[in-house]
Amino acid sequence: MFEFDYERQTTLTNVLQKIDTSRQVLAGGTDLLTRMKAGLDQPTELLDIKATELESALNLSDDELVLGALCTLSDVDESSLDGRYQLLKDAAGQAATQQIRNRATVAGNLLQAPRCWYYRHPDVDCWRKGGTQCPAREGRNSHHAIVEMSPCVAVHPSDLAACLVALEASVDILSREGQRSEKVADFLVSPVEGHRRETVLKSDEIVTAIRVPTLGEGYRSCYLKAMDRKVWAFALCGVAAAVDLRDGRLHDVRLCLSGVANTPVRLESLETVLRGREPSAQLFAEAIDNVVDDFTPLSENGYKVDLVKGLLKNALEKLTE
Amino acid sequence: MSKQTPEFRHVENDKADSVEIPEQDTPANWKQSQSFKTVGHAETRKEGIEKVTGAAQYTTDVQLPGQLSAVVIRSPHAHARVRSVQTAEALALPGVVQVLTHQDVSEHVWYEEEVPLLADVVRFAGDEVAVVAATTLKIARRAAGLIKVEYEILPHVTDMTRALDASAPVVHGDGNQIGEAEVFERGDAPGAIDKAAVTIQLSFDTPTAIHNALESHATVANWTGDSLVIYDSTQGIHSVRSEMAERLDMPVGKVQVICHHMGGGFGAKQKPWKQAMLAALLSRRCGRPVQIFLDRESENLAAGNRNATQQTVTLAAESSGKLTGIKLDAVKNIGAYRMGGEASNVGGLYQHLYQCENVKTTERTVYTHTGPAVAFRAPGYVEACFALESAMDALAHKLGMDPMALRLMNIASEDQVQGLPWSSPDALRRCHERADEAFGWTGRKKSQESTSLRRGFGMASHEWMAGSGNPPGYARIVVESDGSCQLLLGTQDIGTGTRTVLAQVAAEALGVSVDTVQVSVGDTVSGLPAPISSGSFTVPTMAPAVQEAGVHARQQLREAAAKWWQVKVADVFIEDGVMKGPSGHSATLAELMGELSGMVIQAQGTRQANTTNTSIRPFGVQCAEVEVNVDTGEITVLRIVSAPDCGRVLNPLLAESQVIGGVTQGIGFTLTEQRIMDHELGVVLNQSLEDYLVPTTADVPPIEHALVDIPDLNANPTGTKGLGELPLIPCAPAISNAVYDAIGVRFTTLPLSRRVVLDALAKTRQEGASHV
Repeated sequence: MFEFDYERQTTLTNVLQKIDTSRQVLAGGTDLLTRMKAGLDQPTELLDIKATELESALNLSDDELVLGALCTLSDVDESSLDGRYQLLKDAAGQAATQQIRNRATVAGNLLQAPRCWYYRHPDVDCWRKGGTQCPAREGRNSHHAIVEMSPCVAVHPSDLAACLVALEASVDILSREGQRSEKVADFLVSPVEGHRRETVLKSDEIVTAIRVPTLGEGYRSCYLKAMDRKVWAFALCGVAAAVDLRDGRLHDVRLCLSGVANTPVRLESLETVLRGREPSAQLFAEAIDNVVDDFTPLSENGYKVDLVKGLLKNALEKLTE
Repeated sequence: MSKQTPEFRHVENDKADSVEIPEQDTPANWKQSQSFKTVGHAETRKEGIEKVTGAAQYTTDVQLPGQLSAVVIRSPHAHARVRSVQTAEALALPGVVQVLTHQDVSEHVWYEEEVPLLADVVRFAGDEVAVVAATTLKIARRAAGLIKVEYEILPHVTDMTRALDASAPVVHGDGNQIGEAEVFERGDAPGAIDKAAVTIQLSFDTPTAIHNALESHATVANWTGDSLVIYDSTQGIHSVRSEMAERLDMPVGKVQVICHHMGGGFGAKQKPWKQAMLAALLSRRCGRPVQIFLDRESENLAAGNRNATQQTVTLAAESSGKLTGIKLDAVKNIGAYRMGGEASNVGGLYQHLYQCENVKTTERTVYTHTGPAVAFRAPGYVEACFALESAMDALAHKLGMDPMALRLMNIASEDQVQGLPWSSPDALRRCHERADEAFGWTGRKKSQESTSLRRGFGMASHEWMAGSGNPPGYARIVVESDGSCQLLLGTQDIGTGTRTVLAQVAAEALGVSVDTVQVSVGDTVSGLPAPISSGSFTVPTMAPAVQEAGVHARQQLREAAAKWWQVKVADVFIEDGVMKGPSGHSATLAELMGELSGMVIQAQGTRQANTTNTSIRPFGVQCAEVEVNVDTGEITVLRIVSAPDCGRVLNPLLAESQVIGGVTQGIGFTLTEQRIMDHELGVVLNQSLEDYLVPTTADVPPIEHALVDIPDLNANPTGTKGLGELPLIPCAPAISNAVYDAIGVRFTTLPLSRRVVLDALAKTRQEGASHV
């Protein structure tokens, strides 16, 4: 690996003064270091923000749940969040390994680059890293997107991202210019010509917190993750699901998929169909079948359509049983 | 403790003076097991504390004064001619000592094709092009990045089916099929299939699987004058010694090979690999010790794999279930080069497992522009067992028979290839009985099912071509002047517990406690040549030699004590490390040895040739219970029972470890592991452990070792056969047959990923719908 400098930062002000494309922020580093080892990112200096005033706490108030920028996946997994937010615990707890979860932050989780095996391969060129073509499109694409969004068919690797989109969370962003906020759904984007990246975060900005609007008492939720082994794998697909079930009726339904596109994919039409209805196996089966039309699988990932349907069925059954 | 009055007791002793000599002190009587003091007991590993405290020295731990680190530069292309290698920039980097390319070592060849050691033409992505040695690994890695190789890219073929096309790019010579097809035939299989009441024909694909030993291939080479010391992560210190001596044109005695501990080999370390040769050449040029160890990506690209196979299986049977014909057509993907060593024997299982007059197997081996295949724990049999035992399961269902009953009906009564009786004729039947008892196969009942979650039971059986013993093998026992015992062996402990089981055999034969036996393995200087630890051969080869050495040493101890006490040898015996004589004589080994004024007792044992009047083969049966989520394609293995026949079990704890390890690898082969190639680009996409999925503890259910433990005294005087490979062989078909039982889908492709399962379920639904 190439040589770079490392500096432990103690104030956010210093970080904001220094940060640019070559001087990057290091929190957990669980994705950044793998990118650096693969030569995908070559910063000259890493600014370690773990000793700054950034929050690592996870605070639930009447209005919102706030996850500090330094809050780790383990913090979420081991938190006392109630069943309304079970999906966050499910997603954090099923990510990677215990060692990585102890290190990786929720904010960093949203900033991951794709795990596509072409993108990460040292000897393969691809559109996402500046080439002309996406070799996965006609190649080995069993792990890739079933929603057409971009010249790149990699999927977003985050489990939590799908949950945060379902929960209509937002991210706090800070730079020398000041503070701004974006919905997670808008923060995560498909890479396009001129912006071959998965977020709208600029090179002089950092994420300081993630805010989740509080859910009412009737909500319950889960995140179901499909992997090719029981643990320690990125999702083939996942379903983030939350329902507000009171008096035998679905007052609200939130459904968002991971592993199907460059970004999480919220299933608004399915949510609309289910909202206000009484849950039943027949309702779920019919409604889920109608969603499938939107998918455009590649040569090796048609199974993901069935997988998404199966996960949706299992998730809705689990939340309404 | 059972005792007997031996036949050779001195008859003139009167009753009061008579001594009872324990049965185990009579010449090697290992027919009964009940009187053993340590054999058959769950002794813990001799090296356990060293390993858990980190004191055990592996090859990558070796740090000699002045040692250099070397890094290999590999081809990114599947097939290319090396036009030039620019090394100046790397050599200019401070700390870089030496760079070798094709021109520097052109007199050395590698692989059975005898291609240049460092390639002028690369034939797979990962092929070795150059190597750079530097004072630190960090510098060597940086230097490797500065070496510029210019390639002329040539057309490649990485897919084994395409490789057989006449128009496919050729890897070597003028065609990709290696030699003629290998054909075995007895009777008339095609005729039997034509006439059969019931037939099954299925075509199977098994994936390329990677060994992924925790410790990668590694060597430290160090010349002193014209002698060479090699620390190598190897399954065969003596095979590395003799092959390296031959390659370097030097006397075998000037090469010492050391492997004290190793983190797994699984077949991929039977011979010296390129890194050993490169380290030796670099060390000679630099005059300093050189270490090379492969990183995970290199290990998984270029240091061996289980070859992919395609197998078309046809079974013919009478309506009673009696097999009348077995036919196999197999293709194996050997990769770009032949490494040698244990071959992938796919046909063997078809020829041996079942009583059948008409058998034909045809095996073709194909070159592709991919990393070289090499033996991987039961090479050929793991692949064959998935296909044959899945087909047998399909036959049982077609006949409406219980799968175990069908197998029991067709058990081979003898070795039909050699025309010899089995050395242990009841062993396979006993494996079925033990698996049945332990698993509850008879009377099995599905429980806790839902519309989404289905359960199923499956089983499979097998024999194994190796495990008999691979003589010669030598053992030396020294009873030191303080009474402690040394067991000196030229074998190696590849992580299986060889030290411990052989210490048990020595202790038993000598009549001493296992704790007093120090074992030296893994150094060619301390032991005479021993076979490679492959083919599950180590115990059945080495244990009889150790036993013989122990018996001889004990006899010498008795003679020495008899001389000291002025009594008859026959009246002296040894019990729990104490010499005892006829009139209350008693002395510890230390006291006896103290009387010998500095002399030591030394004895040797030699493993005799295998018997030729019986066929020595181990067997096994495995049962699995699974749960399948039909919505998401998720397979959960709930439990596995493994009943392997390895003859006498010397140590049930270590035997269980082999079962757990083998089944775990089997679960990986069945559910998660496969090398994934992009055939257009000719590269491996999952060369790291992120996407090459080895099973985690969460994937592995409770594994029960159903002890069979039938001493096979026709095999050798210790009654042992090999175990290591057995538990892996039947795992894939046991699980896949259980999945069939759960969801009614017959899988012919591994691994059973979500994609494979969901695609098959979708196809079944479509076929079901089109029938309506």
